[in-house]
Amino acid sequence: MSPLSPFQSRARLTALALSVLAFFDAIWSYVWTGNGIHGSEGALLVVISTLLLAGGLFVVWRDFAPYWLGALFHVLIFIGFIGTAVAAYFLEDWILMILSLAGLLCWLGSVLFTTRPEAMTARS
Amino acid sequence: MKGLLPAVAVSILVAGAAFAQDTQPGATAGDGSQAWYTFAGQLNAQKYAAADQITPQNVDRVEVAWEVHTGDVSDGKDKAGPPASDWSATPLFVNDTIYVSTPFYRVFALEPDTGKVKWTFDSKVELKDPTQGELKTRGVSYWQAANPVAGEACQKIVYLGTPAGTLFAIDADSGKACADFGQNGVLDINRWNTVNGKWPLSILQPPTVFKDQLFIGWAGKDWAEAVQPPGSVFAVDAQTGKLNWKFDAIPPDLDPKTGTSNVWTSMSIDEKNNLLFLPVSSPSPDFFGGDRTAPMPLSTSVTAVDATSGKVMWSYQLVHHDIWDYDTNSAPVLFDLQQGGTTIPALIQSSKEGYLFVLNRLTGQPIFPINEQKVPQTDVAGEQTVATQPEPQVPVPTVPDTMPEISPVADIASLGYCSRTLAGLRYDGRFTPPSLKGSIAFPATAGGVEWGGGALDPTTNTYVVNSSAVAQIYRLIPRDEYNKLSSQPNGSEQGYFAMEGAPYGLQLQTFLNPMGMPCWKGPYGTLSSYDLNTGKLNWREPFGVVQKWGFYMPESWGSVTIGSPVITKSGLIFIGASMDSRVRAIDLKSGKVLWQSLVDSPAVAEPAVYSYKGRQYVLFAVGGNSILEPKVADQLVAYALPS
Repeated sequence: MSPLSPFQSRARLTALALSVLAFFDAIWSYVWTGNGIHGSEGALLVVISTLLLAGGLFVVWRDFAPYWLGALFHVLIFIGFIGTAVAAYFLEDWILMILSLAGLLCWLGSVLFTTRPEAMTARS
Repeated sequence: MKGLLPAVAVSILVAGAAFAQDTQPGATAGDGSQAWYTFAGQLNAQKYAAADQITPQNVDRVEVAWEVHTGDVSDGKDKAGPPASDWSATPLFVNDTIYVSTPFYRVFALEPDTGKVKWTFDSKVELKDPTQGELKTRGVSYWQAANPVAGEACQKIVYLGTPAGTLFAIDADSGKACADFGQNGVLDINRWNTVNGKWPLSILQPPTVFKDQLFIGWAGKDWAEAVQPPGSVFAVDAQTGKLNWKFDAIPPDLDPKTGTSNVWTSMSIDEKNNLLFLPVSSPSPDFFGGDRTAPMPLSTSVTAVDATSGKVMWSYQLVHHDIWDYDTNSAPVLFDLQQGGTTIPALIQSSKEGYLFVLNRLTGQPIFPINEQKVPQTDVAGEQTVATQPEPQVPVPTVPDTMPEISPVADIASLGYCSRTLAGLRYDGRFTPPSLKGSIAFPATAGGVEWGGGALDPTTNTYVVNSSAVAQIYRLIPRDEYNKLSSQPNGSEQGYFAMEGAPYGLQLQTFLNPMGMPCWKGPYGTLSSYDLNTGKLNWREPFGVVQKWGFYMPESWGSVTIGSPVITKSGLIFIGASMDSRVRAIDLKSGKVLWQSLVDSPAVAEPAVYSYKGRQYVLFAVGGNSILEPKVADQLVAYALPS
């Protein structure tokens, strides 16, 4: 894989940070009894999905995986963010939904904006 | 002019007969504001609070004023422990005190402004339920002498019923047993359980109190056996427990064939006319009537009796030859209907079928047209169905006349399970009889309208009622086959109903796909408002939210609903009653939700609205009900505006 631009690297790191925050929010939602969803299967599902997201993003950020696995992780992370955001919507966990959508945007930014900003400046 | 005089005379006569309410001692709180002194707020069951401090404009500022956890809760998971609790108790506010019973059959007396415990009373009954399978209570009753003697015990009494068929009388000020009542404060109702007495008469609904009498109904298990104790209501002296009279819904010569047709829910009273209104349930067994084809005109009816003598004044049968378990399940709401300048003493009776019967409460005659409609006939050997059933034309029912079409989401998610299942069932619309291949009942025994009934604003005769739209499958199973299939031969409220002594047992299932999704299109619960002067529907909105695995479904689906609304003078509806463990305030005019608050479980009890020391409170007992959600709690929570 080609080396990441600073923008991509920052975007991935931000997505990772957001997924970690989402994980902690999901745990809080699962255990806090005052939210109407604690202990539910749905709340447990987002604990698992955010944990997997954080793990996957860490692997991709540190570039541990071989190319084919990295490509698979790209797809799974995309689905993971979307799925977690949808689940958060139906759980009415608005913080988790915002974190998931923000994480998705960062992730998409890191994937779609592959051109180095300095190169763009040079061509223009 | 010639026709005017009789009309005026009729108006005067009717106005003279118009009922006055709230004359019962204790009906007015010490500060002059309205108390919540009986199960439905008032004896006329209107569930109407004159309080107007909380309004549609300020309800969004309402907050928790106090909260109490009784500790009396069980999820029933510990096989060695008590069964699951089902807390449907309406708290009472009377005698400047909150009184409420718990599913462990204790009574709490609380300060109305802080929730601080004044006293508790423990009946010490065994925590098992011989009839319901759960520990249920719908609250306590209150009586006070017309002129209480200061310093003398038991001038004010709180009554607690138990599943064992005992009724406790407790001094409302001290929490001590009233020794003059029954035997040392306990009245054994079972001593009158002399015909087909197979199980105790469970006193889960608090008795109705009027003047110096208690009217006591009971709950049984009409699904378990064909021959059961006949439905009876006992009128006893409020201070001694002495039996004054007894009402029986079943003709005595049919006792060897059937039973129940009992009154297991609340009753209402026309104080002015001394009338007691009984919502009479279906006869046993619930789903097969081949052995009880003789007329039983008082079964599944609303029946008016003289409160002093128990004499039947009139009766209106809501379902003939009931084989659907369409118990009349809530107290009729009494009101004065205004029609063409005339006041008509009326009542409205809600039902599991979703029909609303509006009758003259002095005569039992329909005020709006009710037609006898032809209904589908049975194909089961030994059963004998009736040709017609009553169908009110006005107001429109709370549920559609036919089951909505199959839900595409549920059908696709289950790879066509819903469509395939429906194709193999019998469904011919309302009153499709139970069958061997399985019949759709829509609405089914789960309702329609459940035991809370509706609420009424008497200033406008606006009636509000929550209702479910649930499709269930009734499958009769020949006795031999049933005994092999059923793991629960004694029956339960969901699953298998033994109907021992009948040639069939019954399997009852809600029409869900294997993932637990309803196979029919929503909404699954609604809240409706009617103008009862005209019978017209004002509005209908999906009510509540279905919650599954923690996920909230779209609001347009509504929620299956158990519990009931109350209405305040300021134009608000307060209600729990939905699956999603929220309590809500709704605008009476529009039906829009203005405020909601999360509580510990579905709040299936009717809330109580009261004022104390110039502050209005809305009090919910939050305890859950397994029919809605397997989620229980022990929370008593009072809401008010910030002080």
